[in-house]
Amino acid sequence: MSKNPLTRLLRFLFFAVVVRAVILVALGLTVRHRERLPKDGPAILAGNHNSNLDALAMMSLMPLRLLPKLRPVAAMDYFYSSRLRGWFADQIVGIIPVKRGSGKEGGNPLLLAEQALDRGEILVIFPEGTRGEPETLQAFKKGIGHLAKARSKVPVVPGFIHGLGKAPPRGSALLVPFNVIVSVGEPLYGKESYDAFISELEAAMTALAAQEKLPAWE
Amino acid sequence: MIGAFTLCILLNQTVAIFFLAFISYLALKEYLSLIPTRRIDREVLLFAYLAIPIRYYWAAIDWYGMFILFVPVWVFLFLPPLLVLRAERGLSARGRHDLLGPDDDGVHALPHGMAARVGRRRQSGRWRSRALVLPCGADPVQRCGAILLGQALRPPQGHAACQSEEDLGGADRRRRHDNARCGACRPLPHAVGYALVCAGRPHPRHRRLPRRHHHVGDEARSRREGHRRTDPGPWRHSRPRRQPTYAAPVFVHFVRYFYYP
Repeated sequence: MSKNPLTRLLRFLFFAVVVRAVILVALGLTVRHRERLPKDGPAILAGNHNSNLDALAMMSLMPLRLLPKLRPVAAMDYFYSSRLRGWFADQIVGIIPVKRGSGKEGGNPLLLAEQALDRGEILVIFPEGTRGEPETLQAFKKGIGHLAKARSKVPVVPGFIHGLGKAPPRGSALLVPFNVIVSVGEPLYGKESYDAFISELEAAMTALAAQEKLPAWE
Repeated sequence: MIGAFTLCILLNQTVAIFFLAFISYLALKEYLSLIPTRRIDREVLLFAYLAIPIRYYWAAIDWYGMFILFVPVWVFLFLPPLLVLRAERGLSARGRHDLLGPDDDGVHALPHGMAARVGRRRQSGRWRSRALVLPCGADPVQRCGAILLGQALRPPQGHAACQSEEDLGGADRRRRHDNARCGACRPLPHAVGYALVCAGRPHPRHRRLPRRHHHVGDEARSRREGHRRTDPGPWRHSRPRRQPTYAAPVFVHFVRYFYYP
C-alpha cells in the first residue's frame, strides 16, 4: 500500500464518502454483536464470500481510524488482471495479494499476510477462497488454518454476511439494494492442527449463518 | 422520526420530498428484503427502486398527488404481518400471488385510478383514465385467472432455444447469451422500447401550437383568447412533460406481466 499522502487521502475519501454511503446508508448495514470486533490489530476478520462488496462491507465494520490498518486478502490473478484494477486494488482498497495455487509449488502464499499481521494490521479474509451462492457456505480452504497456526495469538473473528450476496451476486454488476446483516462471532485462536481450526471456524460460521432467517433466494 | 418528518414538512417542500423519497426507499428495501425474491427478479426490483425518484419528481411537479408517496410505506406496514400470518417462507406461485394481490391492487390500481380521478384538467383526464385505469383493470383479471387456474403464469426462465451459455473457463467466466429479439427472454429492453415509443408519441391533444398562439406559461391569457383545450408549455408544445403519463404505465405493466405471476 502506498505511503503517498495523496493516495492515502484518496483511499480515505473513497471509504469515508463512497463506501460508507453505499454500505451504511444505501444498503444499511446491521451488525450483530459489534462488541466482538477487534478494537485494534493484529487481528483477522473471516467472512463468507458471495459478492464483490463483501470485503468493503467487512471493512466498514471497523471505525475509520483503523482504516490504514485494514487489509483485505485477495486473489492476485483476479485483481491484477488489468493495470487500472491493479492500481485500484493495491492503492485504494489496499489488498494483500495472494497467488492462488502457489502453496502447491512450494512457496508461502500467505507470507505478505503474515508480515502484515506482524505490523499489527487487521486482515479481512474469506476462507472459502472464491465467491459462492448467497447464504451458502462453501468448503473452506486451508490457508486460514495455516495463517492462524503461524500466528496463534492473533484472534480470528468470524463474521457471516447475510443479504449482500443478493445485492450484487456473483456474475452481476447490477446493485439492487437489500438489507445487509453481519453476525459477528466469538474470536477463535489458531491450533496446532490447521484442520481442527478450520473445522472449528466452519462450525462457528455455520452457527452464525443460522442466526438469521432470511427469505429464500431462488 | 416523527419529529424529523414534521420538521421536513414544515421547513420546505423540496426537503420534504427528498425526505419522503428516502423513507420510501428504506421501506421498499425493508419490504424486498423480507419477501422471497428470485435472481430473475433483480432487474425489475431495480426498476422498483428507480421508480421512487421518478414518482417523487412527478409529485414535485404537482402531477401525481401526495397520496402516491406513501405507497411503499403501506407495503412495509401491511405485507410483512401477512407474511408472518401465513407462515409461508417458500411461497408457491399461487401463495405468492395471493400475498401480492393486495400489493397489486394497492400499489398500482388504486394510485393510478386516483391519479386519473383527481386529474385537474378535464380534457386530459379522460385520456388519462383510459391510459391508466384500463391497464390496471387487467390486475384483478390476472389475479382471478391465477386463482381459477390454481397456478400463476410461470416467470420467464427463458426459452431454451433462445439461450446459450458460453464457458470462458473457470466458474466465474460463464456468460449467458439471450436472444435479444425475444420478448419473453428479454422483457426489460422491450419494455424500455415500448415506453420510449409511448414517450415520444405526442398525445392527440398535446399538439404543437402555432407560434401566434404560443403563450408560454400564461394559461390565463390562453383561456382568455379561447384556447381552452390547449395547455401552453415550453417549445410551443403543450405539456411535453406529461408524456411519462403514458410511457410509465406501459413500462410498468409490460414488465410486471412478464415477471410476476
